[in-house]
Amino acid sequence: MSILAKQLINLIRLLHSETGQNQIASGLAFGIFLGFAPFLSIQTLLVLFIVFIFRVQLGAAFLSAFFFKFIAFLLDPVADKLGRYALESEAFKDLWTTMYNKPLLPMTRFNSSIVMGSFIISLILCPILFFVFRKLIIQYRTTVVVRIESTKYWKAFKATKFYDWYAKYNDLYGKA
Amino acid sequence: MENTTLPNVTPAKLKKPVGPIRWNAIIPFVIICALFYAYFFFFFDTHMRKAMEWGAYQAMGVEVNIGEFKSSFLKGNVKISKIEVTDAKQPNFNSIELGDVRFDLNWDALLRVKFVIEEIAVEGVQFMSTRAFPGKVAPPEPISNKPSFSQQLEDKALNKLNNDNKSNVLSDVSQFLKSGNFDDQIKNLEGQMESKKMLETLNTKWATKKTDWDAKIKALPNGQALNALKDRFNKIKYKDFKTPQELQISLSEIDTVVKDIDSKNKQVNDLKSQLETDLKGLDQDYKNLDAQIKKDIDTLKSRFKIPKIDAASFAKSLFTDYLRPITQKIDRYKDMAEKYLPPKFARMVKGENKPEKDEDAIQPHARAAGVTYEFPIKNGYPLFWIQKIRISSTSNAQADYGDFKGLISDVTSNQRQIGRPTTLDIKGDFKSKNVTGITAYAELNNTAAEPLIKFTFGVASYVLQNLELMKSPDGQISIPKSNTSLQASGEIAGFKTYDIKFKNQFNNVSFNVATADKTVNEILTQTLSTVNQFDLVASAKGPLANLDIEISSSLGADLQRSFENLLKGKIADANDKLQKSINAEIGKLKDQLDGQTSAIKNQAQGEINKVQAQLEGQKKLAEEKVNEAKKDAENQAKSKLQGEAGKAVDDLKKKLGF
Repeated sequence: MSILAKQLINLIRLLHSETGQNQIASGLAFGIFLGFAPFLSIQTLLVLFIVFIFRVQLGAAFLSAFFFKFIAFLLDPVADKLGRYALESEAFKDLWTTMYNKPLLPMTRFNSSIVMGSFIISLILCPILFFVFRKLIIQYRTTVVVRIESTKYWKAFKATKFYDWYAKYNDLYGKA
Repeated sequence: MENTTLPNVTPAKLKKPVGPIRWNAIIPFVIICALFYAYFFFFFDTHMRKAMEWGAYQAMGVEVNIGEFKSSFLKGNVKISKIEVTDAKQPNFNSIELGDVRFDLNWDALLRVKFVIEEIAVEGVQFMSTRAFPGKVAPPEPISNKPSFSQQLEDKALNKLNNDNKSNVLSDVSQFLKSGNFDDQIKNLEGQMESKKMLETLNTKWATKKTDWDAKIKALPNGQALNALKDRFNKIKYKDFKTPQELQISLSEIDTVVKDIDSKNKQVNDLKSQLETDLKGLDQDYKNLDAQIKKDIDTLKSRFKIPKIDAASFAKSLFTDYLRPITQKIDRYKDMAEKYLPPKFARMVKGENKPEKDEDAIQPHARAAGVTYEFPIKNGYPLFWIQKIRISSTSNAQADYGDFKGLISDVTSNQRQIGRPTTLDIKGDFKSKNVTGITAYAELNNTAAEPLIKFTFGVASYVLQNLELMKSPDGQISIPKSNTSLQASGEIAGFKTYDIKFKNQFNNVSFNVATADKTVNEILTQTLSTVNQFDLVASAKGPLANLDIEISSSLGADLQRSFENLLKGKIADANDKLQKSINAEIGKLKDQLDGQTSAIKNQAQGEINKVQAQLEGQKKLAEEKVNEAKKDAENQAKSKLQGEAGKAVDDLKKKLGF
């Protein structure tokens, strides 16, 4: 839990720093896989492994997974149709049969129409979301953050003791 | 040149560029992996051994010790040494001891989360080996008031009455020979017969019914009412109608009378169906009464110790104690089957029959139903599959393992997928214990819609010592030593229908006979001295809740022949006397009941039929009258039409000048 809290603080900090837009954008984009896939499945474990090993912002990934879990419920009918279309397609029949008879792969539950549909949606949306989030982060930093930092409230807050403490903490432990 | 003074600024701390890999996460990950490896390397085997010992104790209720559990995760193999299962009755001994059990798990299957073992080798099997220390045995379950399943089977086989009165043929014969006279007891039959009480109740019930029926018959339409209907019919005009209105009035009058007849008919029909219901109840009451009288006679015979001189009674009486330990095991195995079999089979053992989903089917996605597609399985495995368990054991100078070999094949969670049944085939001898020719074959076939179990078990020869066939205060019959063979076979369909046969052949037999009664002793000694061998055949057939158990023996037939001549006349005389006394006791009450019920039967039935016939007659009359009236009206209209047509033709002729 403390890791998650730390990651969320890092997310806010990164949003307000000059670097790390790729980390945040990739975290948010990977979140779609975590949100759309069944909680206990090989693909979830694989995505978690990638997120942990590579410098992807974990807080962003979990926050996005939480958000996309709700979207996944709403998109179930669409995912079901898409999954059925893919699984019933004659062109892929041999591929599915081979996968069904391979070790580990059936554990992804790819043969369920909803899992397959959700996976296809997340596969298509993931790169798009990466670039969209990246652009939004840059825009946020150049417009919103600059505007906030120029307000008198922010300047007043920056002059407080609390901000001094935060700055000190950030110097000591604030590495992403 | 201008001198400029630079402010004393400390150089900004340069941020070390970070690569795409989160190294600070990889190190903890590697440490966790190393800890896992260390756990499996140092502790897993011990924990697994203890877990297996604990689980086996919970399941079997006796201490199970495992000498060593050795596993290799990477090689996927397991070796378990010295498995000792404590004998529940003799905790200083093991009921079974296995020297070594070794097997390899199939990695290809493991990656599919399936457990497939190509071969398990079980070596060094011993029965009743001595333990290093007495094993722990779970305390027995609290005694339930409900009779156990085996007790119910025994009661059924023996006939509950005999069991309740603790009779056996030997003591019955002795007592019967001693007295054979129960006149005094017969005099006091009153209060001992349930059938008499039943008759009294039935008499009261049917006396009330008779009064009811008398009232109902009185309420039936009587002759006066029926005559009134006749009069109403006679008054209705049914010919020579002058106008159609007249015809219409007559028809509606007839209709009113018919409706009255129908309502009376309905009343009679209602009574008739009530009578039929009562008569059915009466038949059932008579059947119950007959069954109760039969039961009373059996109870009295059993109480007066009138022996049953037939082979089956001898066999049941002699061998029930011998067979009891076998039937008692059924309780334990039934409980274990209900507890540990997969739910769909456990339900069959309990006698429930709910359809169950195929256990191997992939569960639907929890989030929403969707569709789960099944593709052809080319090299798939069932969830659990032991392809072969090879059992071998050879005696040596150090340990008496017995010599046998066996193969258990295809133990699996889904026989339909592999298309083969589970089979067991074991053959062997325990020469040091004089047990030879042990054969066991079993087959569990679940490839069809209903699981089918077939088994045979046999021992060609073993020595049985101190077999007590009968022991009572009146004497005992025992066999000090005999060479015995055993053959059992059975078929269980759907865990519901059982067909089990059991045959024991006793050879080279000599009997020890000691009875208090001299005559009985003489007959038994004389009969049994000529018997050198005999058999015991038992069978159980039918559904588990209602097994039909038969026990027979050639020894029973021998004893029947011997005692029959001596006791036949006396027993027939006693039975006759008892029957007469019972008839005298309940005959009067039965006659009274017959009188009441026959009155209801004949009187009510006769009266209802009579009234019904009369009403039917009236209705028929009404129909005839309606037809007559209609015909008359039709004839009149016809003749009128003919007259008018003739007149018109005449007028036309006149006009034309003919």
